[in-house]
Amino acid sequence: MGTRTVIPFGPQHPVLPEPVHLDLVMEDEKIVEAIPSLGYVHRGLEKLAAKKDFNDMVFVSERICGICSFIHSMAYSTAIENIMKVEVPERAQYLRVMWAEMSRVHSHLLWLGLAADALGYESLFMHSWRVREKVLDVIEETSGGRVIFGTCKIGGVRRDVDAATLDKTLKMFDDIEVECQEIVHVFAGDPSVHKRVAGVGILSKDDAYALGAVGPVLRASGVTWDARKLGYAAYGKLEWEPVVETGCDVPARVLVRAKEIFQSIGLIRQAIKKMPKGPVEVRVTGNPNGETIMRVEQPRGELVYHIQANGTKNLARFRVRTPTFANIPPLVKMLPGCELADVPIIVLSIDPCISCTER
Amino acid sequence: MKLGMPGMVLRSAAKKPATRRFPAEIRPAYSATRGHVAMDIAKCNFCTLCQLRCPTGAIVVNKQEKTWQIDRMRCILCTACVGACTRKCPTMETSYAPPVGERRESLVRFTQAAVPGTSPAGEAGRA
Ligand code: SF4
Ligand code: SF4
Repeated sequence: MGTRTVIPFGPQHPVLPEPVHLDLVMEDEKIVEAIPSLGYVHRGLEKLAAKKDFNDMVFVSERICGICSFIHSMAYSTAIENIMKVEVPERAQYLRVMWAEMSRVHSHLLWLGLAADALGYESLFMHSWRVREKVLDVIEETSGGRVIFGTCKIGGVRRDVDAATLDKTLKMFDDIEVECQEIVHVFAGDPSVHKRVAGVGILSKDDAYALGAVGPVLRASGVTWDARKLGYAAYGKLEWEPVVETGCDVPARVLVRAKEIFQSIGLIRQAIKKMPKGPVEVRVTGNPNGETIMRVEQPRGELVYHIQANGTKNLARFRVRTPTFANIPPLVKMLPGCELADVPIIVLSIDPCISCTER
Repeated sequence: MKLGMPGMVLRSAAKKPATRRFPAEIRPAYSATRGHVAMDIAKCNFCTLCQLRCPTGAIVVNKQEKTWQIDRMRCILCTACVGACTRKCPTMETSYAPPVGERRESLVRFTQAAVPGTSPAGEAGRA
């Protein structure tokens, strides 16, 4: 047995802009143990719920994450609607799907760019983000914001999108799809990308299941589970199948996310085509009283909201479990046995969003 | 189409940059864009409805002094005030508010003229 060295990874690290710290116990170049520590950016949002009006909390929940912003507000609104037994108009359900999938496309493109950057592919990183910029333009045109949509509310959505804009959105996504195909082609087919990541960061199917991995990490290990199959919003009325890969390594996770981009574009098309006419919101009066658990699928995996309301305008309990939190135990399992040089791309392969994790 | 990385690089070399030459070239705003909250103070009756609805407490209305103040740094552009006002005084504009160098510069106060409508209303000064 060689001498053991502990190398700190993070909280400030060039490849990872977010503050997660890992103590890497090394034997020569091999990792034998990884000990994570979190808590650098705790924001105390769960306490804030006790002071804010439950309607205003939609805005707070949207700001838990800067990437999956819309999905957070959708999860929160749906949870409160479930407690208050509010029937959301159908058009609003389809609009929610449309916006949620737009944020998935932009999140996955962002991640592909970051992954390219971690592998040293600067131009591929630029290209991914160039395409992502177009998605952000569509988001701005339909919702009014580029990152914070600000369109979800309890009882529906705050703005309708007219037919002309929806048509334009469809056209824009035709272009975006072609450009994504090119980028994905490089990720999937380039021999040097393949050589760099093949067999790195293995997480077996059993481990993924036992450790409670979520989202693309779980699906890349061969487990068929996608929370969208629960059928919230209009997902139950659309036709799609979860993307599953069996590689269990980093390239499998890249492929799951890459394929999900096209799946999301397909869902956006379906949602726009099936969208019925009608109102987009209902008036909600009174305060919620009850308890609920809401699970939705974010780009990074399954998000869980637990809300307890006691009939006042402030919530009694507001608990959020974000996907990165669930993916940290699998990450700690993936690292032992790996080379030090592979740590950045392995950490990145779970698409960590540390600020969400710490709420 | 599927030329891989070399194809993409060659095509990019022949094309003009994907970025704009800001500020020489400015993308027109979308009509949906939430830029900043503008205020028509002449129509305001200082009912404070907007202040009550604002989730961030960005608006401070003073009935005695006839002033309406917004803290642009607090404002999250949610449009709640625009929807709340029965007289349609606050409106959402598509242009962004100018950048500020200091925190206090983000407070913008509108003051209503003594006889409403006699003098042009506007950004009367920064508090
Ligand atoms: S802006 Fe409108 S809501 Fe606000 S105080 Fe004036 S009249 Fe009332
Ligand atoms: S847009 Fe929203 S945050 Fe901004 S002043 Fe109006 S109510 Fe307040």
